[in-house]
Amino acid sequence: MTNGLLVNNRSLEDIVFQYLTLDGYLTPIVPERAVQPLAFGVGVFGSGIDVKPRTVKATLDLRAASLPDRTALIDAVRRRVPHLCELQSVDIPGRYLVAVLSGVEVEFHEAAHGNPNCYVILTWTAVDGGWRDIEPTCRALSSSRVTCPVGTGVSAARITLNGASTPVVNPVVITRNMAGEELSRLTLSGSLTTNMALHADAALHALTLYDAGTLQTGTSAGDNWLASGAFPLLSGEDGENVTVELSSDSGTPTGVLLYTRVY
Amino acid sequence: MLFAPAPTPAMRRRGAPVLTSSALFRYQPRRYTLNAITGQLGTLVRASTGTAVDGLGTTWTAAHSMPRAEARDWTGSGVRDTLGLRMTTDDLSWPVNFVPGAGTLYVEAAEVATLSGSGGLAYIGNDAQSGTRLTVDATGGYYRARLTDGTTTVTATLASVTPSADQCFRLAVQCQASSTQLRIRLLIDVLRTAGSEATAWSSWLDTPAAWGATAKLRVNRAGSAGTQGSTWLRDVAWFPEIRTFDECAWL
Repeated sequence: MTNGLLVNNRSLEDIVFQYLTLDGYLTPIVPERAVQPLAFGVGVFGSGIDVKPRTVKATLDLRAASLPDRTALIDAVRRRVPHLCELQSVDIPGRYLVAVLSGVEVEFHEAAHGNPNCYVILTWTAVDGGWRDIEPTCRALSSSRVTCPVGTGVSAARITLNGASTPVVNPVVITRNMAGEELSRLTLSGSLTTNMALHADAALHALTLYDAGTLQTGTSAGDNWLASGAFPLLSGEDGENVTVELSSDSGTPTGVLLYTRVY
Repeated sequence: MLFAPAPTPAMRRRGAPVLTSSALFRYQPRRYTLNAITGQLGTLVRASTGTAVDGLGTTWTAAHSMPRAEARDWTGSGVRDTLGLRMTTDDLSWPVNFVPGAGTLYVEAAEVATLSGSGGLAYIGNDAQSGTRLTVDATGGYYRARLTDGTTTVTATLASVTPSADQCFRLAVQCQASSTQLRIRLLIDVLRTAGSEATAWSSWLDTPAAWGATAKLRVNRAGSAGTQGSTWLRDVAWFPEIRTFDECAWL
């Protein structure tokens, strides 16, 4: 059984003896919208609040047969850990963290000139502080509310709306909490006919329109469909579940939602 | 006289780091794109609508040429918790930018219907199915792998293990190289059953210099006109060395 982190789904324990310590990877994600204090006066901004990124630190016990072998093993560890990588932990095997290697240190034991063993300390800074489910969640969308479980962080929805022979006119995407209160509404302006598909990406804040698989550009581009509202974000601060539904002026709206829970 | 050479200038990487893979090609539908992790741009064609099933078991319909994201139970949890692409009349391909040689073609998939006919699973070669190509398709209810240089063909065919409808499996074509030749064998592991099998090594084939002109890596059919299978695809990759199933899980 692996004890420690997997880097790009691979354990380092075939080249190091073991992980000695792991720190920082279980810290719950901090709120992404920091509360700002009031301004001191007209035209004077209040002080901001720094939200530190999630930092993961692992200490590896590296045991080499000789001093040259120690150097080769340190090189091997470094090669196995690319600058940008996905970390997984045996504590939470269904999630991964995208992180950037921000530090590599080597600590020698006493009498390092004769003792080839050492510690290698790897430090990662999370590009995005959230652990993400490895597997996205998939939900069919319609005019009925569909329940979408969320993590403790904020997930960006990726929605594809379908056209139909009876056109879907001015489609709308609505998110609500489990009490039925509306959280966000994305109103689009246009008519989705047969073979058309409109993709709304809340991570990129972009709308992309396809007709029979062909990307529409220029005046036909999807971005021209944005009428009002906000791209749907599924946040854990709204509860363990939210609902998503579709609406339209006419026609039967259908589509699919893909998102990744964030913690 | 002191002689102080100019110091070596500090050299730093420019640009943002990107996720790298040890594979020469790797595609995973769960990453919200038709493009491979390794950079190859994917092309999906399906000249019709198509259905798929979401995580709650609800069937939804995808528009013309839109990917059919479908959730299935890969882990045996009883929950549709794993995302893949449903493929029947779908044609999904990427350009190939590596040459024939030692390697492993790896596929994670599920057969949606009982394996029959000659439906394709994975293919490296050109649209016309000419020249050098590697084909994984069905024959007599079992998967087979064929490597050909356009003249001579070597084959590895499974004989005892085949996935039933909706069974998830891992499949690998291992390509072993000598100094001048290649040979293949085919392995399958049907999840949560006792079913796994590895064929014997095929005969040797003189190593071709390149795949057929404008070769692509294609899933669910061989060439642009081959018989399409009926599969759910979770992962497909080409590694530049022989790997076991567990090693294929490394990104």
